[in-house]
Amino acid sequence: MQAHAGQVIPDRAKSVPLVLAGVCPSLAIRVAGKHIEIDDLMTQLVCDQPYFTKSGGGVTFSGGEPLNQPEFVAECVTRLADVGISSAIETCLAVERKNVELLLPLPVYWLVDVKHVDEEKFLQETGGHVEDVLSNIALVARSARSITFRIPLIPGFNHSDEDRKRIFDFIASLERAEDGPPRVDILPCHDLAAGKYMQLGRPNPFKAIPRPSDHLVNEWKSEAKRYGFTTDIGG
Amino acid sequence: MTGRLAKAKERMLSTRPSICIERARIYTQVYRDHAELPVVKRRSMALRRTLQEMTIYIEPDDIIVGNHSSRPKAAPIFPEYAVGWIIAEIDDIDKREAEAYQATPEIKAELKEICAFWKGKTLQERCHALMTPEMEEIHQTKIIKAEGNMTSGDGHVAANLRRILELGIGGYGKLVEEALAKVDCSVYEDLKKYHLYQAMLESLAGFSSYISRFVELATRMAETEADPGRKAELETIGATCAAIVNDPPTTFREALQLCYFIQVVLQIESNGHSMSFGRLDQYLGPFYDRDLVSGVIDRETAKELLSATWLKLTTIKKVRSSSHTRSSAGGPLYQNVTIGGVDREGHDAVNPMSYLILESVGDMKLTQPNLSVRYHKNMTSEFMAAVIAVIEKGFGMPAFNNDEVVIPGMLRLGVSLEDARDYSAIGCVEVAVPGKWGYRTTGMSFLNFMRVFMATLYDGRDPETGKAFLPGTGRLEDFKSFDELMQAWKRQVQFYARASVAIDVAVDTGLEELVPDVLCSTFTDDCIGRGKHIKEGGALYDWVSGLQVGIANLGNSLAAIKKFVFDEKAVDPKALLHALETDFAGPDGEALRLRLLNSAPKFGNGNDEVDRLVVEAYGYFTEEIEKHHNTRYGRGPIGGGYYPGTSSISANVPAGSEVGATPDGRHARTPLAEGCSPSGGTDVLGPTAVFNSIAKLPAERIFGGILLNQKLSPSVIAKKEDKLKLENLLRTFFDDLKGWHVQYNIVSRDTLIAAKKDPERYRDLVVRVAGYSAYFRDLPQDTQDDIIARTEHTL
Repeated sequence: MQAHAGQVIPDRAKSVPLVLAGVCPSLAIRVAGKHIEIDDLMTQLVCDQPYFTKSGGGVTFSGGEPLNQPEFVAECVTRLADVGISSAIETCLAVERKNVELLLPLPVYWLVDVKHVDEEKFLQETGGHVEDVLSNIALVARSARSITFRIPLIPGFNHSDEDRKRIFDFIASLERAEDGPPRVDILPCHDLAAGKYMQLGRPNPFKAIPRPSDHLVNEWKSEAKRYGFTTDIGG
Repeated sequence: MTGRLAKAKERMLSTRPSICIERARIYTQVYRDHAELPVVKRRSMALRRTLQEMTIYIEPDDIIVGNHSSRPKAAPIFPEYAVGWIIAEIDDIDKREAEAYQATPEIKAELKEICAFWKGKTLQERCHALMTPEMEEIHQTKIIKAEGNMTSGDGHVAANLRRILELGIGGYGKLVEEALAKVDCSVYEDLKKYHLYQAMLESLAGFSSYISRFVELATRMAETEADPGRKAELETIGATCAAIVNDPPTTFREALQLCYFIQVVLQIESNGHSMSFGRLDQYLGPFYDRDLVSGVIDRETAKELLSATWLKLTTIKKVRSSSHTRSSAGGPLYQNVTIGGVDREGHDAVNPMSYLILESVGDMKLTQPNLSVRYHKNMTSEFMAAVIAVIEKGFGMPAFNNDEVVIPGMLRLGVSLEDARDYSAIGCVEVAVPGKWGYRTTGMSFLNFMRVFMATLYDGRDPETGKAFLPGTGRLEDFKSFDELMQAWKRQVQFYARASVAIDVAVDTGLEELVPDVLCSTFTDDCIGRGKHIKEGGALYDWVSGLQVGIANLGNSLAAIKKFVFDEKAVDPKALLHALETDFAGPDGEALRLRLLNSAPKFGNGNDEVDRLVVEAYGYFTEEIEKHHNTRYGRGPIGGGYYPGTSSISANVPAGSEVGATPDGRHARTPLAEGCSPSGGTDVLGPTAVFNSIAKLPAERIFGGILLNQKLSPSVIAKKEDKLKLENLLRTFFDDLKGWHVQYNIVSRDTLIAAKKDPERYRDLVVRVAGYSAYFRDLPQDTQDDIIARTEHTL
């Protein structure tokens, strides 16, 4: 490939040393994310406290997977709670049980992925074991007082009527600490990651996956309602 | 929008602007034949005769009447202000890139004759003659610009509509006559008053006869009208006008018609823009409420009348020189209507008329009026939702001003509590007490901060012209510490702050001597009581501000130099200057530019280090400008001083074209940051971070306005909960962070790019340029590009 003026074409065959990230002036090579100490993070978060107070909003710990750093997240949540800022955790719960247990006593709004309940499909697409995940979900459901189950709706993976029935049945069967019907949001898959794959120079494994049709999404929504769930699309 | 309004809007959109020569012809005759008269009487005679002799018309769909010139969108000429640019540009005025005006060869020829008479007699020439040679030289470098003030005059004012609706034109006549009766012409000052009062009476008489002419025209047209529906409408127009020729209005329709007449006539009198209505919902509300109860009017009819008024406002055009057109791209007239806020007692002032004005402006999606909403902490969510629904339509309106900072700021200046609560926006961002405040609460001279900053790096020598007005403050490589650079900046910017006032004083003196607005003064408290026009100190309050351009670039440049040259010593000062001189040429230059751009902190991300530099560097200007006075100081008004202002309209584009490369990594000749917004594309942490940066500025002192533009794509507020998010964001910015102003462009980037390629298809695309909205197709290409480049935020 021939680069023209102003264009950077990294040679992906060789690994790009991270040290270059600080050198490239155009930020074409950069580390996404940064190392940050809790004190510094707190200073930044507290800046936006007026917005949180006014809107009843707060801080969401999101992916990667926040529960891979449970001590850090637990301390943040505790310190935010001390100054009256609420926290949410967005997680797929594919982590060790003790990581989950560390967070359970804290005031957290849980946003929990339920990708599938089928061992084989789950293994094939995520490389993880569904048993462990489902048992973590059950654990959170038993003790957390605010929780939203979120199903990423992905054609070819979990879109069939049978998939839906098994996922919904699983949620309906959970023993839950929260009052009222479970909240289940449907997240139709999208192709926003395409740009990132391009930047990383990697093939996009989800290129061939179509976006779920409106019809399918609405079907899921009305079925969720039939189960008695509180539900929304996106969410 | 009713079918009739849609038709009239389409006709307005397809009408090409043109030149109308009538006003120039009449003013020239009067000035030629009556050179002996005191200037106020020459001007009142010229105004009266124009109002009595100019062509008037009623269009087939009109329900509100009154015209600015002989045809819709025809710009009258104001030769007494300036003719130099007209002589130079008239031949090609129908061919220019932005804002072309049609003119026949006959009109062009006559205009040249008229201009020949005015040569040597104009305001612009007088102002230049009044400047000291040093100020003239500084003005020529364009570091400070005051061209618009000389070629267009003042504007930026609101008449006391509340009182006019109460007294009527006749009532004002009585006030003047009472004052006249007390004049003792054996006293020097009183002789001047005597002539001013005579001029006021003549102007009021001219105004009344202008309205009478519409009574006659409507009646005549009704007589020959075949369609019975239209015939009845014409009769209503005639009766409405007849009721307000002298007497105060008694109905909503009459009140609105009178407000519109004032708006038109004041813009025939003066070439200024930003002629504003003040708090129109407060003035019209009581009339509307009464009419609703008595069944004189219904909601839909009232809304149609308002919409028709907005449409009429867009037929008013002012032709500007091509360079001035670039500073205020899109030909805006900034005719501001303000709604909401608290009332004079401090309670929520939102009324049914506030909703109706909001809705009608939202329905019409025009560039006029420039709608501002005064936010206050007790504003209901219902009204906020109505406002956000209009914002969502994506034509940049309304903008917000914040009572929670403006009212305390006014009290600090010495404005009475009730008057402070009664403020309105004037033009775009700036505020004043309508009907009681002099011209130009903002809009005095423009100071290009980055020109001053670049001179600071070169021992006071301006790199663009090679001229050094304040030499001896050191070069970048001489400074041993960052603090020395900051001290040099302080000396330079304080020098130019003073210079900008010196230029203003010359311009204000010229305006006072040559083009006093007699009618506008009549309608401004307390000109009648004092026997002084506004420029002599007739207004109750009179503060002004200029416009400082390139605020974010200044802070970002300081931050980059501090980091790379002083803290890290990673960049040699000589190498930096060389890179700037060559506009970052070569691979090394580009590498340095990218480091400056990407690796130094930028204003608008809540970063304390750079935000503090902005506050400090701007603070030196503020400290100096607050020491200065305008030409009305000590002559009557409360105030008479200066404060800073950032509502630089689209001047960031031409100002940028006059500055080479800057240490924030900005290429030579590209636009500067507009208003107080972050530099295009450098705010990467979202709207709360921008707000957090802006909030660090002393809003109560930067009283000329802190202009903040944010762009949101339509998808961002598509859902109900997203609208609530926006409401909460705004409430936090205003209640807790004491933000001054914010306005939103809700359009997708793709739409803008498409509109640039195919302007015909996006004929009605309105975007927020700075303190105002304009048709995207009317903007010069570089302004279009600037708008596209501004960051698109997600909430």
